[in-house]
Order: sequence, then C-alpha cells, then structure tokens
Amino acid sequence: MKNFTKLVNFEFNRFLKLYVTLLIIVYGIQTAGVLFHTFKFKKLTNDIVMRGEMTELEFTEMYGVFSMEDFTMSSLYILPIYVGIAAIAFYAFFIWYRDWFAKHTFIYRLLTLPTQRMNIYLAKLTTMLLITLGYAALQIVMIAFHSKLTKWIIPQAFRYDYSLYESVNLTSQYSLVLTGNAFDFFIAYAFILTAIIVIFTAVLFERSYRWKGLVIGIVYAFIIFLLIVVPFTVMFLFYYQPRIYPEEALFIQLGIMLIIVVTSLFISRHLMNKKVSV
Amino acid sequence: MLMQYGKGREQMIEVKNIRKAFGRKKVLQGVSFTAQKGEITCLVGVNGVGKTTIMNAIMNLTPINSGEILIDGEKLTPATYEKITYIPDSITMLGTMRIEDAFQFMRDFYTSWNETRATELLNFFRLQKNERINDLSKGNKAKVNMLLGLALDVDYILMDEPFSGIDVFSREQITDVFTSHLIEDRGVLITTHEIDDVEHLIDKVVLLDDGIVYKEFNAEAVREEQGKSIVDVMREVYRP
Repeated sequence: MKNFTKLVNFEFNRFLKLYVTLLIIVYGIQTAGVLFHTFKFKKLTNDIVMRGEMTELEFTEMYGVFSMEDFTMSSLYILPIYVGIAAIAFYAFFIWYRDWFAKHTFIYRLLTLPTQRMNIYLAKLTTMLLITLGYAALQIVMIAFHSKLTKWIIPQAFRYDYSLYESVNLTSQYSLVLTGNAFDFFIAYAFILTAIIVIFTAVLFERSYRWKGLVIGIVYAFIIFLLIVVPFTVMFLFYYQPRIYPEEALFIQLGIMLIIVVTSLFISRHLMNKKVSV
Repeated sequence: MLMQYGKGREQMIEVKNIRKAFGRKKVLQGVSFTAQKGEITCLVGVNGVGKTTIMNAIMNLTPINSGEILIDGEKLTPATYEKITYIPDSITMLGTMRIEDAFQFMRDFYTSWNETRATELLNFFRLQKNERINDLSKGNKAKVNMLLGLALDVDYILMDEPFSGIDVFSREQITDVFTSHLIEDRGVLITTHEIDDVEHLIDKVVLLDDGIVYKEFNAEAVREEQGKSIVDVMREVYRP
C-alpha cells in the first residue's frame, strides 16, 4: 500500500507540468471565448442603449438578455473541452509508452522495483482517474468563474443568471466528464474507468507480444466496444416492441462493464507479471 | 572455489536450460550455467548471441519459452529485487531528474538502498548531487547508472556492457570499482566486449554460441594450466 501511494505520487508529479500546461491552454481559451462573447454583447448594449437609441426594455425585447448559453454553445468554449479530453485520452497510452520509448529506459527501473507489478498498473490507473476528475472539478470552478466574469461586465438588466447547478447541467450536455447528478456521475465514470482499463490492457498486449499483441489489443478493444453497445442496440432494434427497457439496458450494461473490468484486470495482472517485455 | 552456503542452500544464480525465441529466430536454445555469490562471472559471445536476453530473463524483464531461473534456489518474486539488481547499458532513471532526485527515488522504494555507500560512490566518481541526468556526459551517465546499482546492499549485480561507448578514464574508474570493497563478496554477472579491461578480474567465463553455452571455465585455472587468456579461448571458439 505504501509503495502504491508513493507510485501514485510519483506518476502524478511526472504529469504535473504537462497537466498544468493543458489546463492553462483549455481554460485559457475558454475564458478568452467568454470574454469575447461578453464584451461583444456589452458593446452592443453600449452602442444601442447607452446612445439612447432604445430603452433597456426595448433592447431586451429585441436582442434578448445575455446568459451563459451565449458562450457555452460557442466553439471557443466547447472545442477546448474536447481538446482536453483528447489529450487525457492520449495520455492513457503515453503514460505507458513514455517508460519504454523515452531517452532513458525507465521501464527497467519500474519493473524491477521490489513491489507487486500490479501496484505500477494501479498507480497509473489512479493517476488517470485523478487527472480526469481534476479536469472535471476545474471545469466546475471555471463555470463559476465565467459566471462571475459576466456579472462584472454586463449589467443585471441585460443578463439572466443561471445557478451553478443549472450552469453545470448546461455544460454537461456536451462535456463528457461533467454530469448533472450523482447517478449520471457514477455511470459516466464507470464508462471512463472501463475505457482506461481496456486501453491499458490493449497497451499491455502490445508491450507483451509486440505486433501480434497490437492486433490482439485492437480486437480485444473492438469486442469490448461491441459488448458495451449490445444492450442499447437491442433496445433500439425493438424500439416499438420493447424487449428491454432503458433502465434494464443500463443495468445490463453496468453488469457487462463489471465483467469487462474484472477480466481486463486479471489479464493485465498476468501480462504484467509474466509476459511484459522491456 | 568461492561457493558460499547460507541457510543450507547454495547462494547463486542458476540458469537452467532456458529457451527463448523472437518470432522464428531461436536465440536461446537450452542455456544453462550458474553464477556464484562472491564471484565475477562473465557472459561472452558475439553480438546477437543472447547475452542481454539472458540478463533480462534473469530479472523477469522478458518472458522465456521454457526453462527455469533460480536465485538462491528460489524463483524470482518482487522481494528478490532487494537482493539482485540490474545495471543495463543505458541509465534507468528519468533524464529530467537530478542525481539527488534519483537518490530519493531509490530511498523511497528500496530498503536495501545504502545512502552512505551512494555518497561514497558519488565522491569516487566525482559527480555532483544537483546535476541533472539529461545534462551529464555519456560516461557520467554510465557512472550514475552504476552508482544506483552498486549503492544497493544486494547479493547479486548484473551488468550489461558497463564500458559501452565511454572514455578510457571513465572506464578505468569503473574498472577500479571491481577491485574495491563495493564488489567484494557479491555475485557479479557481467557482459562485455571489452574483455581486456576486466580479464584480470573475472573468475568465471561462460562462452555462448549458437544459442547454447559452448564452454564454461574458470579463468584463473585456464590461465595457470593452459597458459591461455580469455581472449585466446574466445579466439579458438569464434575463429577456429
């Protein structure tokens, strides 16, 4: 347990610089997007209302009020979120390959640590989850910050304020890491955890059997994908004469994911202990 | 013979009939030998004969197709890494680390880490703790790599080409290590092309050819009885 904690700390610190850079880029662009849309609206109110061409009421009747939706639907706001998620997904591979292909072959050291090799695996997995959760948590903080920004810039008469809960709900419609309620959070993170574990297993197949392993890994991931979509495919195929209902499909899917996670962990343990090669 | 006994069991690395193929290429075809604690054993063979593969197999860094490897009569477990260490031909620490960070890493994970010995080696190699690994010369990287292995209180040290591509003075410093107390009483398994540098230090030679152990001999005995150096024996095997 002590070694596991040390490894998590070590793995997280290795990514910290890149992580902070990623967060600055993603949330920097988002904030720039928020400022762009907010000031654009502010200019419109200045141009029309402040010059006396319209009253506040006439303006809001014609142009509407400014709300979070005015910037959350913009590409400057949405794209960075996906860029961040893509970068984190990429790191799920890179967290392994950097140990093999960096200038110095650190994998020799990692695999010869006097600790269970699964601790290395679990430390990398935990790091990935911490990165994802941190990313989502900061998104919530940024939503609150962006909301504050609009309040500072646009007078109350010209804006509609969503609560933080409503704002998170709005963003969660397109953000893969944010959810509106606890149950959705559980489902979303069950998916994310399963996806990371399947990626790790595929990587370990490749690191154990090289080209053959790459094929095995891709086939394995494809089979897992099919297994996950089966319940909902069945549901939609028989949409008008339901054989299974959405809730049932969801629970079947959760059951399948549990089996996938357990199987993948067993396979990974075997590969880490017996098959992986430097 | 420096064979030692501990807890009623021979203290040595036993490689028993190991086989390993990469695709269709059979690299090891039943390799067997032993490396005793307290001796320096040298694995010799031309390029591609499987010396590094044997080292990796001993450390469970590559799976073998068949055969068995025992350390002090037992199969390798995570705990074994407290009594055997591997110094490959490139440094196994992150380039972004300073030497002091590498020390901290080793201190964190190995109970066998000996800080006093590490500092002693640091002074011996004339290295600075605050130097970043990426900024070191190839020779100094090799020294840090060796330092990290030698500063562990382990019974066995595996070294893969410790003199590869480094200057003559660094080579001398590393050779000096072999005659010092830093190696004494430990079992060393080494692969090298630079036999001349270590010939006088080696106790036992394992000659590999065509995926098998072609010859296993005591260097001193061959020297005394047949008047041959290790290179002479190698010449007979590889250039008959």
